[in-house]
Amino acid sequence: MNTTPAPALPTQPWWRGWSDFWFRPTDPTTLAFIRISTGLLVLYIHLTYSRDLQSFFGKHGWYASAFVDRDRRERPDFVSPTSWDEQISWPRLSDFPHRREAMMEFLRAVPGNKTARQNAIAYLDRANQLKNPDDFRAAMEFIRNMHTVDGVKKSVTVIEGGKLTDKAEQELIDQQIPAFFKAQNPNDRKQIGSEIVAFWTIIPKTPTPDGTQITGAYVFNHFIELPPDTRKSLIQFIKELPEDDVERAQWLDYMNYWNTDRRVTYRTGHAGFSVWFHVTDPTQMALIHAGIIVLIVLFTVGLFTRVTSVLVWVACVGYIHRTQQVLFGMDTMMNILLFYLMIGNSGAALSIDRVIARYRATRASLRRSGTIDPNTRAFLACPQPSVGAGFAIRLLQIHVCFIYAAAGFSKLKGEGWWSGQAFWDVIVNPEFTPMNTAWYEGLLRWIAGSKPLYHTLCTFAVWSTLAIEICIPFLVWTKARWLVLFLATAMHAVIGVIMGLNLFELLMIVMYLAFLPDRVIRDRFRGGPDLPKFAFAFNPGADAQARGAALAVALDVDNQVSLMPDKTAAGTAVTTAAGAVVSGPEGTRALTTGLRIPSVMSWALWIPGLFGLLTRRLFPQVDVTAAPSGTKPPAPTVAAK
Amino acid sequence: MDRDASAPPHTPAEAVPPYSPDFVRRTGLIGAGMNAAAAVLAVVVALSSSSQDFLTPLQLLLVFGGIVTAGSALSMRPDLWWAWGLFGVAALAGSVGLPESWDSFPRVFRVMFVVGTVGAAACCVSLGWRIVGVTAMVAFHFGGIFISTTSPPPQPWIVEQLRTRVYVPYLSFIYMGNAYHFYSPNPGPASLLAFFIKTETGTDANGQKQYKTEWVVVPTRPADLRDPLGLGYFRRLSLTEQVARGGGGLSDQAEKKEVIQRRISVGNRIPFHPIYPQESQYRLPDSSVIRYVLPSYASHVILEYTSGKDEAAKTTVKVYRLEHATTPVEQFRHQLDDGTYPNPYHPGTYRPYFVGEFNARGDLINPQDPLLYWMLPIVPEKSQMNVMDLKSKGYEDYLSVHALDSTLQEVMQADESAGQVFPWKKLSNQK
Repeated sequence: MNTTPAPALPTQPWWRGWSDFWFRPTDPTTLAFIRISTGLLVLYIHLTYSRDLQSFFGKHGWYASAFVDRDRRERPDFVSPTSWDEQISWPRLSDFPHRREAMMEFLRAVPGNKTARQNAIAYLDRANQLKNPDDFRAAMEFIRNMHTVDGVKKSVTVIEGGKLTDKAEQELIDQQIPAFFKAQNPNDRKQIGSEIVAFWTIIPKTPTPDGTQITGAYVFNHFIELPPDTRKSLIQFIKELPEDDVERAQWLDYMNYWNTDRRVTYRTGHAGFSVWFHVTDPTQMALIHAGIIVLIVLFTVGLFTRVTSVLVWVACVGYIHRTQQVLFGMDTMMNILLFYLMIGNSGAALSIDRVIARYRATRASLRRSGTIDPNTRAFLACPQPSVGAGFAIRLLQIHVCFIYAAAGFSKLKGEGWWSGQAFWDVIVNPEFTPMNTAWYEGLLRWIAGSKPLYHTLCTFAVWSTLAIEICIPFLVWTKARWLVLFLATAMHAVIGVIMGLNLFELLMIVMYLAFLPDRVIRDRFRGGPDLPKFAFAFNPGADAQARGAALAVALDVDNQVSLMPDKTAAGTAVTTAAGAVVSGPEGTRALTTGLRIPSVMSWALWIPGLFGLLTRRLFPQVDVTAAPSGTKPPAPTVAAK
Repeated sequence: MDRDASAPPHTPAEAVPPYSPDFVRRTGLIGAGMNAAAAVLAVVVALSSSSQDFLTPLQLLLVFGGIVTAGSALSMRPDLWWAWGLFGVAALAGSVGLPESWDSFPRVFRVMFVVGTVGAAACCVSLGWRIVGVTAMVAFHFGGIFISTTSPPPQPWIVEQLRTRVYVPYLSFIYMGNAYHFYSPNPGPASLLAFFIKTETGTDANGQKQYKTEWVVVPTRPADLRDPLGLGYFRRLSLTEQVARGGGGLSDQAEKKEVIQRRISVGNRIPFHPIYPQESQYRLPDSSVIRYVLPSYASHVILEYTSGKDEAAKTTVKVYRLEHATTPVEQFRHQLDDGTYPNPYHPGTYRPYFVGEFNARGDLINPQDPLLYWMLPIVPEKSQMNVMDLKSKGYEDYLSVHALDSTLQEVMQADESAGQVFPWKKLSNQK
């Protein structure tokens, strides 16, 4: 239990202020209530996954395993260079599928052998060396316009200085030859001719009905339209493709899928983890999912919270990492809450862990002195302030401020948030809002029926949204905290109704609990002064009876039970408010219906064996049967308190 | 397992007797031992020439059981440095002991190892240093959150550098890279996805191929409101939002002319929408949507709605994104001649975009389809009518014309309930 009191801190004011802000011991009840609220919502969220387990997370789900596996292992991450001199370009293909397909066909046709490749792309390389981008364009357009084998032959003939029989055609081709090629000497022009032939052989071609083949324009167009730096990167990529067929295929596959060269990425893959990456068998998935549901229940009721909180976070983030396509803001908020609940000891109050701690503390005190000593009584009276709980709540508070600051300020970029149109666009969205209900549509028509009303409402709504979101990070630390929290809660309630995003809004409201002052939650859980009182008689010398007494105290969070040590008692017994002395099943029934929290939880006694177990622990059979015949449980005499 | 409880507690916080170090040590050692055994098994598997898949469940049991056991020991006494240390050792051994196929989890265990090591160190240093350490971690954490909130473009250079070079692994691990720019800069329209599944069933007497067809629309109300709070419905809306990303039009590229030419070539059968500029009716989805989101969705739908591999192999799916326009207030308040109001779910309020036809492997069948990424108009019958007149009947459904490779006349005469033409009534009858 992280319930240690505040340790002595250095005395400098700034240091003390900082430490007080972050590490002030805080009543863990607030964090515990956040745990229960979050746990219930998380439970609902994951129960709804049960029907969609296969379609969301299965092998052939909406985002299938094969795709998500590539995603997590290969997704490229880029970063711009830190120096002015470094190049900021990387090779890429087109987003137009037809052009991408043509480019991939071209890249696959590039010879593996580096010498052969050099020859095949010599023309491209030559054009690439041209300083003026217009020259590169002219060189590409020149070869693009050749279209067919025949066209290539004729063009090469002309550029090499040969003559065509058709003079008009010769003139036409001659006009098309870029000036910088014409300016070359005859040997170089011959070289250019052979480079054109070699390059043309690797360009994808489409068969035509007359049996000839024409080159598509896509490859040329792509090179022409790329920015010079990107084009150079792509040509460099082609030059550096590995000779090994398998390796080259991997490079090209990465280029095709991720539209880049793996080598220029800053990193590949992401740090996500999920059991659903590895388990795809439907039966195994169902079993694991059921196990996770059980874990969430344990976390919610606060059993082994330190361990279950971590396991629940790991499990829930696993769903998130597996299929981000089905997520929305709600999942982000759920994750934030679970993360901070893992840091603070959210099981220190309102939990089974707390009941266990109460039992152990009482048991230890009874073992020492047969009574409950003052410090143990103080521990039983309320959970001890905890540095961990305060720290977790502070983290949550600060995170909430970041959320609202970002949400508020980012809206200022949108015209709709200035004109009021944004509000209308939200409330009239037919897929999110209950537009399919008559009352809602009628309400909107009523609003739309009056121009002043419409504009007043839209303006008021966007202004108040901006005001609340932008002000929260600042005003929530002032005396206006109650006001802004109230307004924000109202805003989320309205959004919940209008947009239907109930769980998102509920999780946001749960976050606000972190701003409630210490004890507010705890005091709400206190029973009143009129609760029935019980006296629990036991023999502190008998181990089993002392355990029964400790259990009775552990279950009593409202100081309803007074312990009555009686060294002569043969067994434990409880005296009810009406003065009846009962033990065994009747005693258990009296306690579980009379003590406040157990009475709320009495439905759990329908769990087979639980009532019997409780009875055996509270009123140990062994002591009763060991007592001489006719011995009755002792009547309470002196209160231990 | 408790300590000697004979001494009364000095403070209320000490009222609960701490677990005895021996018990914690035993528990921690059991956890670390289980993970060490898993690590040994992993080494054996790595050295073995034959497949040892049968050991995988045992390795997993040891690793996850071990780390929970070591974690339980730590939870009993987080004040003992060696409890942290044992947890760290268990985590380190666990990272080695995991089966090779579980390649996303070694990182989790390595993080736990770091947590164990830092925790052990924190137990050994003074309170002041602990505060300094925690302060540094808090600063790093919220530095990352701040960087995330400022990361959507246009982002400062320093944000890009810090985010990519420093924070991405951390933030993606804990899933806290959200920028929280909700409904920013402006709320946009929602989209639905419509899948037209077409399975070849054989040939008729004339040798014509016969098909079985089915429409699947995601999401629809009330069909997808399967839980009281409608979470499943909103998750499906998120699926459709992924496909709506991008929306780039035709820039001045060489293909622009060709793409428009192709579109015009089928203009007789499927005309442009009369009220939107022609070029604006082309929406190129985001690169990631084209490359893997749509292929995955298409593959999923085919496999989900066919009975086996053989049938799936004979099936293709045409995918449409139906952008559902929000009604401007002027139109919303406008009463029709018969005194009724326009139905917000009228087919004319949807703007369907054809985003490709795919096979079961997720391959785009025809990248040069004349209508790929083009809007298919849904307009009132007889084009001279006011196109914004959203009466509940009489609209020209070019979505079905495209899906069925049919003519408008055939579509107009078809019975929607027969399952061939798009089920507009299913959408418009949500009210």
